[in-house]
Amino acid sequence: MIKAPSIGTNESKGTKIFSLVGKINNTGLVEVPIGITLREVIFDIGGGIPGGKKFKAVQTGGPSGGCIPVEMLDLPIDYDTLTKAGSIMGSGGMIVMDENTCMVDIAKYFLNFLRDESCGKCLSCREGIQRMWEIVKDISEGNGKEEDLELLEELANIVKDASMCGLGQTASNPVLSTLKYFKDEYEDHIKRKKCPAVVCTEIVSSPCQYTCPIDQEASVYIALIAHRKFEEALKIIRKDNPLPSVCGRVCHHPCEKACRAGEFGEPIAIRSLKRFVTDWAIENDYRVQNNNKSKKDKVAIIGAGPSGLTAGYYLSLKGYQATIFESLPVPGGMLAIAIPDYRLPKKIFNFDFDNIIKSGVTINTNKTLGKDFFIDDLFKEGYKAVFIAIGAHKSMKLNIPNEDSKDVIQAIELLKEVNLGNEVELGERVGIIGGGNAAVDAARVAIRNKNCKSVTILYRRTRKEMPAFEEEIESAIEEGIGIKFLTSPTRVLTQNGKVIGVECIQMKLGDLDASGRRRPIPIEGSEFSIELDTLIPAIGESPDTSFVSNKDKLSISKWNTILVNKETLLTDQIGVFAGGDVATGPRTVVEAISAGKTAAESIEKYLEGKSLTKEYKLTRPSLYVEPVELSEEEIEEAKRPELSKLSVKQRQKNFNEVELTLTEEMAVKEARRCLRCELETEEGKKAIGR
Amino acid sequence: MINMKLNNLEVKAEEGWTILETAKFYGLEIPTLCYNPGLSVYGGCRLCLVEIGEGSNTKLVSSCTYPAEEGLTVRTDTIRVIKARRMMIELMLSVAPNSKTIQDLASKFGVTQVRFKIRNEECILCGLCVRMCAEQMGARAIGFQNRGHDRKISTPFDIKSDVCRLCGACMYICPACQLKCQGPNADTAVCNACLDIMDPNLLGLLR
Repeated sequence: MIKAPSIGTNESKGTKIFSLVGKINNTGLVEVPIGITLREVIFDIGGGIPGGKKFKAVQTGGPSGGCIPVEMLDLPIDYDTLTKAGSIMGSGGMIVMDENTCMVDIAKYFLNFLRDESCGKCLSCREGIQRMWEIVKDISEGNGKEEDLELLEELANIVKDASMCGLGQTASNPVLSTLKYFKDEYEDHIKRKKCPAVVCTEIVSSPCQYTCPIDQEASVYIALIAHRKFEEALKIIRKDNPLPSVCGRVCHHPCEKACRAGEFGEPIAIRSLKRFVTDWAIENDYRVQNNNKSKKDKVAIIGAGPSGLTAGYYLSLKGYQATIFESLPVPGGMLAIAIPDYRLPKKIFNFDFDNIIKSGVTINTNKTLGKDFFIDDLFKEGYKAVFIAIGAHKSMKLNIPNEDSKDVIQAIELLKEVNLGNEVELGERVGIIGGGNAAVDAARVAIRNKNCKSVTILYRRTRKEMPAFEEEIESAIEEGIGIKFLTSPTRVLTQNGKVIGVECIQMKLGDLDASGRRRPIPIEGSEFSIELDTLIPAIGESPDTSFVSNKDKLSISKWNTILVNKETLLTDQIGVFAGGDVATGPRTVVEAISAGKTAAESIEKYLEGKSLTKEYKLTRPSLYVEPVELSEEEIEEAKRPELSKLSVKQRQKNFNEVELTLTEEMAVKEARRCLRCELETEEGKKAIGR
Repeated sequence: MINMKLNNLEVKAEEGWTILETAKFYGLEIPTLCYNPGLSVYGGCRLCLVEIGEGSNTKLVSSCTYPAEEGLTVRTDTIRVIKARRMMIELMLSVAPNSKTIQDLASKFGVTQVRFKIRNEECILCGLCVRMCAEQMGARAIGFQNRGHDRKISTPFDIKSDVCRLCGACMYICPACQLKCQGPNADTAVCNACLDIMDPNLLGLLR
């Protein structure tokens, strides 16, 4: 028999039964000694959060309990500590919430429950909870005002103080605790009209459009595909994206990660659907109209990558004379030199590029900033604004001995030479260092080289932490590329100046670092060597900002990026804007396009003498399309299509595009599967008469 | 006799008195709305809140329902009490902005804004009419329905009552639906026309 008083803390004796529910692996009732920490209950007994998601908060004590954040996981649970943390022991409920939970939405949910549960006798409780709910509802719908938070806090404290019974006295806990620990989330809803957890329907509309950095109306073009209106779908896509055919192939598709269909099954194949439409456009030669707007001020854009091209395109459409200066002999930046043909064929980029040219933008290739011209020359020549979008092309150093040997080729150099059609001499055994997309691209390019027999990627973490796209890693493995995980190079081994191998050290994973991944730690004495003929480091790139002279007022960060206002892209120099990789460090294509769009907007405002301050709007589609009716059978068998790929044999030693496009039937079928989240807002319901 | 401390005065209360009754006996004013000496106490409007207890262990209670206790320390006008009262007035105004009684309370307590969306229901559910009908008229024709934000006052099943004699006592005692304030209009919800002619009370402290 257990003697109860021997269990528990000094103040609270015995055990307590909790009901573990929510985003947790082991749900159910658990009896634990009082004084146990929340971490033990949630991670040891509860088995942690499903799907590898991050823990965000736990709500204890039932609807009128408070939310306890991740920083307080080591709190020993007893009556007093919970009260101090702004929650209660209450009914012993324990609702675990992961990163996909919006704390404003949680507060709204519990307030809605409590405004029904209140008996209604005390004015403070009846009217107070009702008013708190109204305020939180407004905030969750993007109609919040900045003074709302102050009023909400004042009211919540008074409801707690002035009500007669326990219900009113604890009803404020969900509000007060979320306000205390997650105030920034409330502020995001109010000031930026953003719901960071992508939950609040009236703000988010459809998660795909909401998470897209360039506001592509994915759910709209998907709906149009479902109705077989491909030309209209193309117009919707092109409206927000001057490089749609490129994005249909190489975008990192954050939309698919946010897709609600993915919560209980497979997300809609949004990128493939976009590619289907753009391939249809190429096949039927749908081109954009020439733009003949009257010409206003001259704007100089430096760099013809996705960012520069986008800025040039939109500025030209607005009627400005945009000129792009490009250092390389070809336009496209990383799209042209870093992404191999088997992922992005030249003709695909060229189709988008031709459409961009039709906007009236001028491109000058072989013009390098800092060599052929300087920023103040541009202003002297009559340019009224400058947008620097030179990307990040400088390879980072490994900082190990002998890395400057002849047979060590930087991944970006290799990709560039191959993309420009030049021969590159590689040895039989090639080693790649790194785990990003450049590393995987370089590996797949190397295996296509005529001399190359084997390629091994050396990565210092594990597959789970690899930043390269999952499908690229899979294709690489299919093509016979080996990956050695938890391996970090310590020295390049050479003989008579020729690379003969690389000495590595075995790593193990330690605690989480700033990027949320587990930090690799070398295991002492575990050095070993690998025989290689060519070594290709691909550990990252940084911008080359050597062009900056004393005359420029630009500020450069310690990562060599140009410091800009993140919302307006204005640098420290009036009239000079910068965006894309040069301001952020290496990122994705769609983020670069987004920077180009922002730059075009900011430059227009600047040239018209308007305030640059960004105005935040709720995400809404430009058009509501009637939903399609699905038969029972169709719903039953709906599933994400398998993309066909060239077989490994067909890919050998050539650069033919590996991934193939969807057929019309597959595309329409997939588009019909879309849940059409944008129709769930009040505006959406009204538009289709529901 | 019960000995207690009321705003730092040593006072004596009769057995069975409430804090409110004790305060009234000593001439200390506590605002009330749902309280009426001829009816049973209700404690719903939360205007008569007072702070009881000492040191850090104090709490707010409605003085109309809380009995006088031996050794109790009561403070009727602390900042905490007044903040709560002002919020109660603001909440009442937001649902019954046309009531002269509530507008006067607003002026008296310096409530000069309503930060909630106006919902003109002309009722604050103080329950005076319900108690009047039951206790003084003996009719029990009206009562509360539903709970929480759906709570309302009506006849059973919302149909014409057999027992109602149309005596009008409910309307006589109502603080919200009968005596209309001439001042406020839809934009402001607060009249405040009487702001400067009301008893100064604690306004110096508040402004």
